[in-house]
Amino acid sequence: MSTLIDIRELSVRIDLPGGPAYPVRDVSLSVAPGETLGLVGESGCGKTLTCLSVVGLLGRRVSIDGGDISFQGAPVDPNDPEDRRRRSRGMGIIFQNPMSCLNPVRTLGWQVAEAYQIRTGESRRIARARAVELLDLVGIPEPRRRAADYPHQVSGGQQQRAMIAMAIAGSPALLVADEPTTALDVTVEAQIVELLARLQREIGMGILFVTHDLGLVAEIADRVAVMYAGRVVELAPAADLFARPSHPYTRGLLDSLPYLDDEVERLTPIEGKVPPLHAMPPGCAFAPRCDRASDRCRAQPALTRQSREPGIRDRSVACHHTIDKTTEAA
Amino acid sequence: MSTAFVESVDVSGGEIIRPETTLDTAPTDSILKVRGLTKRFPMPRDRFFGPRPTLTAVAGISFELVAGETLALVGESGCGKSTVGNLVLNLIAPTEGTIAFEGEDLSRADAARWRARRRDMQLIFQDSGSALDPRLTIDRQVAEGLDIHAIGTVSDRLDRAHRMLEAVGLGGDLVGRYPHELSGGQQQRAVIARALVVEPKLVVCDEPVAALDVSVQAQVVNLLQDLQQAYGLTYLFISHDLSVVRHVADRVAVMYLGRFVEVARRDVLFARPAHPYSRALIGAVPAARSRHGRKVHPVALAGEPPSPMFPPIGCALNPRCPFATDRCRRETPELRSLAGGGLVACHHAEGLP
Repeated sequence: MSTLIDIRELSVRIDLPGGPAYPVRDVSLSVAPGETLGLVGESGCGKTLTCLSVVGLLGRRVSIDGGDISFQGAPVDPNDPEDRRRRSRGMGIIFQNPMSCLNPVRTLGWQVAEAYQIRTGESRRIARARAVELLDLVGIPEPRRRAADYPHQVSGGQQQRAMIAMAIAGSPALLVADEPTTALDVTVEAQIVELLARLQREIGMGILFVTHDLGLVAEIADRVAVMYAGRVVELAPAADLFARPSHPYTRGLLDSLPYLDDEVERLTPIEGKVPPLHAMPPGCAFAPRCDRASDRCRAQPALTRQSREPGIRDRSVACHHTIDKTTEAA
Repeated sequence: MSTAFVESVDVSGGEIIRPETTLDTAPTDSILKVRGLTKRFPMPRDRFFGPRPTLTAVAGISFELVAGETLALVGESGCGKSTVGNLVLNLIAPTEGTIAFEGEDLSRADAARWRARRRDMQLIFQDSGSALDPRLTIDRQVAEGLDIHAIGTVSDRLDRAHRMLEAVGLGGDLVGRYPHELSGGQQQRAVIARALVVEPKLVVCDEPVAALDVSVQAQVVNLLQDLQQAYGLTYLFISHDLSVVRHVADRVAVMYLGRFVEVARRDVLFARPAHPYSRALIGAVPAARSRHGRKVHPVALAGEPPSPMFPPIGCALNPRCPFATDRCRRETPELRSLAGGGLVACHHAEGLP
């Protein structure tokens, strides 16, 4: 299986007044064509910075500190303008908040056409016509008329659809979707998720789908990576991850959710909170909140390794004391 | 003459308000009675001499709250659920309708009376970051409520604030911190402590856990339930998250465009939602949020909620509803009782596939 994007041991550094902090550490991920990789975690776990590293949109004072990213087989060079153009042609991105990401002084049609032109190099006239088709494709009613609207004239759901139209204009190989439905209502969210799945089937793009919503990621992702405090703690096929979480954090997350058919009186939260960036514990970052933690966990971080459990393939986990059948029975 | 006078006093004074729209699921001892609550906001004119359009945020809703229960208001953004919460506390004034708290009609109460009553009626905000005063330590802002309502002695107030903060899990050296020194979950605990320190009876929780990460969300949900038990609180719980509502609510009211479309006991609503909109909302919850898979057959709604400035004629859902008939496009359905318990505002609730 060829990979579309391959991230190897990526670390991201932020230069703060008090010294550097590392919000992303040793993250390795890959997305194959036509595949959806879900990236989940709580706020501040580094999932958005991982995305921004992929598309090359890290801000000032934020830089890639180590690791490699290769896109369609060729390594990415963040400082090369030609390479940046290669990425902007091959990748589309959807952000969480469409209102702050769309240009308020340009019409929706103009912005979609611009994205199409950048990816395909077609003429302005063709791009304009294609923009209307794209707005139609993402389910905006009366696309010809809406193409002449400015962002503030349409609803949040329509803005998000317009942003999806921009992201998929010219059929990029990879779509990076950073919390694309978080700002939307559930009935509209269901429509957008359906739309992304349909577009993926039609265009065959790979999707890196970032969300904090575990229920949603179970619905749409082929594989899921769980991040905690800057590291990927578990990576597994979606069905396996939800049926049998292996990392204590993954299980803690799943246990803390309220379920629609639960009869429990109390929820089971993960006690404590995520350690702050400037005070990461020397060992496993989850150890202070983990009921399985030992002295070994507090001394050294667990390296990511393939699951040894029989019958489980393609699962990697970073924990000294994974939850598997043998330990469960004990 | 005198008999007529006596009779009229008898009627107005002795009657327990139990109109036909009384929600059958809340029978006795209600501490809050809301009747025909309506809020219309005047909007700016489109043209200089044009008419002034109005936005009907809440359109004539009625409900009661029994002491100790949790009624959840659910719906999508813009459905009016937060406006209901604000109206109940008179943070905005209703256009029509009455609000009676512990039998006292507060719709004609003046500002001073409301201030006094708010000791018993408190609000927990969603965005704890902006709800807290950035320049006051959290124990000072919790004690502020005691100052306002002149509870206890001046020297006693900080002690009470510390005990309340301890009860919400912010004891020790956390009490003297400023809001920015706390995490999101801790800030929300401080907001809860500030609301509860005056010992209210009714608490309006407006999306209290929506801004929190799941592991912390579970902590705060548990805390709200523990405090309800400990202090006998009544919650009006406003949320868009159905799985949280399923966990905390006794009864649920589903809102769409300013109206209740369904009101039912929690178990009834989640097992057999009667209104197409309730079915769409519950069905849109990802299957992974049920341990044994989705039970409610989802209803796909077309499009997005219309603007409350221009609600559709007839049933507000009719342009999006797959079951809509001509009757739905003509006649607005009233809230009516269902055989299985609960109330629904749908012409075809019994006959849906």
